[in-house]
Amino acid sequence: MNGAEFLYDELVVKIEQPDDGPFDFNDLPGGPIHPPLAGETLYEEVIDE
Amino acid sequence: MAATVQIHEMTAAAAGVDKTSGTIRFKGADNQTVDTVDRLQIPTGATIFSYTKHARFYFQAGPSVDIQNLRCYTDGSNTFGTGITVQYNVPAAGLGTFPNINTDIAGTDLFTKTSGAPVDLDAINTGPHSGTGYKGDHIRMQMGVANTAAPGQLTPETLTFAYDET
Repeated sequence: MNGAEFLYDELVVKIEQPDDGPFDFNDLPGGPIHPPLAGETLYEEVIDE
Repeated sequence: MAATVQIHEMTAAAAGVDKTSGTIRFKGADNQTVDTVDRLQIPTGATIFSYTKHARFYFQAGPSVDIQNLRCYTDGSNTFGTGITVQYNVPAAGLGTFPNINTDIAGTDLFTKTSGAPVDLDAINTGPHSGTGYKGDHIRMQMGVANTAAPGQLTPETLTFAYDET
């Protein structure tokens, strides 16, 4: 090697966006998720005796 | 409303320069400027090392709910050329504990990390992540140059950061 040799580089930074975009609660089958309304039961456990 | 997510090259434990879709340059000096000053000198003897580079996720605008599974990866092929390596590790406290150095960090080959087996960037600072600011772990990287390297400008490589947003 004759004389000093140098190099320089590039490391390119990229962001991969989520494939299907942000999750949208309003797009759920059966309509949007919402807090339970007054008098509404979230779920019931039925015991068949 | 989707979050606005950036990748910052860190200048301190919780401060950095936006490098999203930008370039990180491994240099013989500790700064974030992408220029041709402080080029890496090919050694006549033992391998030399660039100053380390820390990168981290930054949420400029937070997600609706949260962001998880922070990660980054390469294409799995080092095309920087003969005698050039890039190694990494994930120090817990980033620059606050690990100032940038130009001595061997004895890390893992960055090009072993692919989309199928990426660097986990929320193993220490675990998710789910919400709100704004710096999130997840710091990746610390360093280029090694052996005496077999050729002079000139290297072909760029890409480091891709990915996440899952809700």
